[in-house]
Amino acid sequence: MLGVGSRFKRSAGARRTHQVLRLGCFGAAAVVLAVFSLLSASDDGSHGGVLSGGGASSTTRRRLTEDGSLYPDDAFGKEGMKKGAIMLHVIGVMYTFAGIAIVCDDFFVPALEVLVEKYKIQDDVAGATFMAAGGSAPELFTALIGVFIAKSNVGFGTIIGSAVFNVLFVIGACAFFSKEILVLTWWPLFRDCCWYTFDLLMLYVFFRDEHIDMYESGLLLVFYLCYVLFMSQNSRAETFFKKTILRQKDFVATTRHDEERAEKKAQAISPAAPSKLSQVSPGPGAVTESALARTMTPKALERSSTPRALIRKESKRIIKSDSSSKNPGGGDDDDDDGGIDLDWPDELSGKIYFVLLCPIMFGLAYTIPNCKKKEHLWPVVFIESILYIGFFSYFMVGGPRRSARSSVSRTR
Amino acid sequence: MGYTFLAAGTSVPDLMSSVIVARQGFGDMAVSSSIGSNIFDITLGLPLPWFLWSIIEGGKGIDVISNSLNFSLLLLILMLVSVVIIIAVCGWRMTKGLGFSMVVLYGLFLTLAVLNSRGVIGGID
Repeated sequence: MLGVGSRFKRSAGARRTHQVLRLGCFGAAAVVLAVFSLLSASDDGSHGGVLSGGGASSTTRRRLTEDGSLYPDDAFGKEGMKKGAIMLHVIGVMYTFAGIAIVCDDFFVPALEVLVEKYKIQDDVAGATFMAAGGSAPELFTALIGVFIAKSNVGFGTIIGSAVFNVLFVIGACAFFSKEILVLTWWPLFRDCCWYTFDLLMLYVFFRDEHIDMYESGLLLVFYLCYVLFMSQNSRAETFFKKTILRQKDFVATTRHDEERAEKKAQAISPAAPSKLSQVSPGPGAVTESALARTMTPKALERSSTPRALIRKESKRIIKSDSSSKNPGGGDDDDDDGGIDLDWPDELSGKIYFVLLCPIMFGLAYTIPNCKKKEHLWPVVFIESILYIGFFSYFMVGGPRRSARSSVSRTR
Repeated sequence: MGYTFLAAGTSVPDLMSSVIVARQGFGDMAVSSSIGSNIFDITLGLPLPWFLWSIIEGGKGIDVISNSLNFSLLLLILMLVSVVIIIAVCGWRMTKGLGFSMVVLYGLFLTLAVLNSRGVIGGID
């Protein structure tokens, strides 16, 4: 299925950044989860020394354990949760972390890329719908388990914690880990903030009587459908908003038709001249936004203009056709054939990494198709990735008992 | 308090995929997906189980607990406003300073959550 010989070989440098990314993600979140594990493991006063480092006081611990196991005991049992067991717990968490990283990196994001490139969906639209739905599937599963197995509602606390983490920590991490300074455009942020504020207000209205009727939950679901429909008409909404409300006369929206024309024009550009890439965006299908005017370098232009997927595709085509050129666009280390690289690595760190993670890597490589090679299979890859993400997250947060019992503790 | 960390666990896929697309140069995609995840949570993650429950129970509603809803909503709105302000102040560019401010804000939130669970301030969970 994934023959070694047929695979596109990454350069050693590309491979290293790949690992640095994963290990960096590990580090960042392992700190959070280590604190989480330590807090959850503490059931008596004997680990005071360990806990004081986590920033929690003995009062916190007593409250956490007294009010009905916010964190239920895991496989080791309450008695067995000594320091060694905590370490095993943390290692287990990091392993599932690696699983999630591999699924996201090699299957989930490539499926999104196929979606963006093949179906010409704007990347911010794909991000706010498909990517958000896939990444938040574990929250949905937790909520379903909470209602149907624990016969309770998981509560507002999960949403708060997840919302704050999603916005502050995730955007912060993106700023830290991005290879260059990314330029944001205001429309997607404005659009999403408006929808989010509206949804929060609706939730507030429905929550006021501490009782959710069927029509109220149904309405919230309808709002999600509205959001998805709105997103499918995003470029029209953007044009309407900017032309009619802001009276930006010079705004030209990109439509599918325009992008196709731009692509045809782009194909005419000689593959030997990557510097001409920047000429694609000011073409007939380009956006003349102020954000675009602010950016000076061709690379920045490439990042901030709207037909980004198109330019990416174009730059890839150029890289492929001209084997002697060395990654002109910068960040191209992920532009491989997709799927998991199952070649035996050269460096020592790579070998350790390979041996440690080979059960996950081989398991995934032989159960999920490679959507970079079989583009029509992207829905299969997308859904399988979500299921695997759900599976790994389930183990990471401690399995059904943890989520179910933590919900039980909320029942009145 | 407990939910703060449980939530961080279930949001790890969001973190991973956002960081990966940000490294590929799709800044808007990363930001949209993180706010889109919240929209998904509120309009699908919360109501879908309730709705299914109502269908199974023959149209009955479900009781929910919202003892600190006002405080939580205020917190979320404040967070959203501060994110927009930080992004605008950084000139719509995802600089390291932006990342640092966001992480500091998250630290502030965690501190609030810890203080809340110790009963110092009124309740998040």
